[in-house]
Amino acid sequence: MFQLVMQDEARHVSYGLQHLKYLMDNCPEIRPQLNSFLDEAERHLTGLFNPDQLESMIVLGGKGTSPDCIRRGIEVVGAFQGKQIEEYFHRAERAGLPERRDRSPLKELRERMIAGVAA
Amino acid sequence: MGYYARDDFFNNPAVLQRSVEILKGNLDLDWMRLETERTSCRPSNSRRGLTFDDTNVGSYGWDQIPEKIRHNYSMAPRGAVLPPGLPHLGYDINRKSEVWSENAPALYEESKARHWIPSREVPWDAVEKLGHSQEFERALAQLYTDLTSMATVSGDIPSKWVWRINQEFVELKMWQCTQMFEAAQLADVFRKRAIAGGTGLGRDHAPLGEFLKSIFDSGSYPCASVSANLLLCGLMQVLLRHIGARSANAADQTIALFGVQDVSRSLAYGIGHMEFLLGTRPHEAASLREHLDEVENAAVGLLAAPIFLSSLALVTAGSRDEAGAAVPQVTALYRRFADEHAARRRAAGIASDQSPLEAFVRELEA
Repeated sequence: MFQLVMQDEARHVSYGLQHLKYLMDNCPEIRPQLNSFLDEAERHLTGLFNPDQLESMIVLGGKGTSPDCIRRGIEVVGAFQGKQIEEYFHRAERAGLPERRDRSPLKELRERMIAGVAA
Repeated sequence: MGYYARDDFFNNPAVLQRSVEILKGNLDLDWMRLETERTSCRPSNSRRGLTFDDTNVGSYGWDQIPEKIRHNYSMAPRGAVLPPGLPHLGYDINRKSEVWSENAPALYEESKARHWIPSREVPWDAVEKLGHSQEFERALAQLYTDLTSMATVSGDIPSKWVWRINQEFVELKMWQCTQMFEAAQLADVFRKRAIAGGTGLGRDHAPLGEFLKSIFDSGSYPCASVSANLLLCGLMQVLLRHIGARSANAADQTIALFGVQDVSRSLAYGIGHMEFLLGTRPHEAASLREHLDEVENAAVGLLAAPIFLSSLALVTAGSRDEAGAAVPQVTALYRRFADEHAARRRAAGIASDQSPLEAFVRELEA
């Protein structure tokens, strides 16, 4: 099921990327508007850190609720989140919005999270 | 941006703190202790797989959807636990009778099961040897051009309404998505066929535009549904059957076969929708009848348009020279359309003794 869903979603991502690229090439004056929208929208990406979702991903990632499983799950989810954010920045770059990497609140959110866990 | 979340999550230290606690291994896991209904669903027919019908159980099924949705305006799937604070998604179609048809879940399943691929399943090689004259092809291309616009609008209509319909009616919304997909596919195949035949697309015309706009701008979903699913799809079905019968080309016959199959599902939904709506709210019949009469009036404009009538006559006769003599056959085709449409109106509970379509065909016959 996940394999088929990924195949479908990949088409959406591909369309979104090409659409954004076309927009940036042909309507560059929209850049500030898009950036302020993304500044706000990325703050709403709490799905990444929503307790219910985060916990269920940890349980799935570690394949159980024992302390060992939880530890493994946290590693998996941590790596997954880092990859997810990095892939997002990479796509934004390819679409013509390389500035997302520096101005995105996601970067700060992740840094705060890592600092919090390390403390 | 039109909506700002009620909580500024990014600057809420509690949100970050909770996530940090989880990542330190302090999981709460209270989402595992839910009291949702537990069911076991298996495919009733292994060839069909697990269908909507197989999951129509308890609180997850559609049988228990109330007529008026008062409890859920969020995007939560029906049957999920609804914690406080879920945002209102702005749905303004929240009555079951406004949208529902008992056959919608089955039509969704059927649509997926009978999915066809225009680029591969139409024998496009046949278009290289048309087997008919250039003028016949020009007339066909004109009809395919009209059909392309009709199919496009038949997809625009569910897409105009689906986002306003409450998430509780999930099977219905999924069915509307298949309608959109099928409409895209039909518009695609009609357009390709017109272009591939060598004469290219035909001419757009105001009577067709007026007819489609009168459907597209219907003021409510039931009005849009009755005019699109009964009248527009009924007309498309008649045209496709006629093209399939008149053209000896295998590509046209295949397109007609698949096209009729697809639009027939929308006709079935349209009748089922009206039956359900009027079974619950019979007083709605008067406004629906009036609306359909009005849209029929616009349909008469299309049926009487010289460009439509003459291309249909040419396809019916087979050649330009004989097209004039084919008017009685085109009238017979219109009679069939009017009769079928009237029968559907009766079945749906919105028969009209002032039907402009019936009056127009009678005038032609006289």
